[in-house]
Amino acid sequence: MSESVSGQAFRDALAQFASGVTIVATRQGEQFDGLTATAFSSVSLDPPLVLVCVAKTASAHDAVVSAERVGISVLALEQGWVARQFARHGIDKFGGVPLVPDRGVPLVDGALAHLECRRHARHDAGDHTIVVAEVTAAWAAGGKPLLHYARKLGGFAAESTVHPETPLTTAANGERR
Amino acid sequence: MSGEILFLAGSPSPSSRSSAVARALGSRLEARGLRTGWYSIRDFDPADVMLARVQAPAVAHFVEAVRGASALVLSTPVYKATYAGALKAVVDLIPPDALVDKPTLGIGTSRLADHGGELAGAFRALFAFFRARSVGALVVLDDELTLGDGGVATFAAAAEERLTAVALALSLAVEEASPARAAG
Repeated sequence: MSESVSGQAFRDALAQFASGVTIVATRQGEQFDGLTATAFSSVSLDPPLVLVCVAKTASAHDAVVSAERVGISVLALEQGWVARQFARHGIDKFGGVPLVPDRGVPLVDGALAHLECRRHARHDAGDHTIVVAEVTAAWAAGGKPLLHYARKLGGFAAESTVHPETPLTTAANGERR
Repeated sequence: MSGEILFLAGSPSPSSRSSAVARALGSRLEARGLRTGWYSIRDFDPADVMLARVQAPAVAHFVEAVRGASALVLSTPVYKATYAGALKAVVDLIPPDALVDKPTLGIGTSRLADHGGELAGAFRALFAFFRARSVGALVVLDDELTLGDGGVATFAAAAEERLTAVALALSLAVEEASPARAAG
């Protein structure tokens, strides 16, 4: 019996992890490129580091991984179309997408938060490359976030009541601890 | 300023897919109360274009229309991984200062996704040369587009979404670039 999980089981389990949705974008002169990334995380406060995992099959992989500077935009709920457009190959990903004017890196206007980043490190990780970037500037506008969960995009509903006494359930055996 | 959004169709074919996408965008813009004007590379005497006869009446009239337009939209099929050469020949007749700060959009239809990306980059470089206020390109892949009777385009959901996005972006750019007109 194989020791490794099946691809389907891996994907199904990880699809249960909800995340925000970001656009990671670069420009070299008039060459713009970017991609939609949900595998994004803060890493360190001192120095201020974030990471993004970029699929090696992504058309923008080489541009993003080799860029000295990237802009990261945390998308708002109404920007699902931007997420879909940047996830597609063979079109103008930036077509009709409003950008914040006069910035050195492409930042999607109307996003909840913007990060300007400088490359810090790259790590090879299977079929992805982990890009660790140092945040050189950050702004938060706030609003309603776009979330990715179970292969769908949607919104966030805050829990109305907190029940700290509710015991945790382990998904693997369904037993309460 | 005439305030028209000027379309230049770059396909030599009368039943062009890229022209159908341009017409679909034009309908969207007209529905938002914007006026459109239409040119095709077929309107020109090929000799005027190939020999850059800028004094020819048809060419002079076109250049005047471009200068007076509130925006310029180019449409083209992908030929040899980029825009049609005939379209480029007409664009070469436009004086280099005629599009400064003017909203522009490229429309392209492509069979291959790789070429769609190349076309988007080619439009970006072209509009950057003119120092235009580009809203980018609307690239529609062949499997996202069906032509019905009378050349009416029907789009797959993803392409429809991009069409809506560029229509909004272009109309906003026109309004921002022509505040007097928007106020009146």
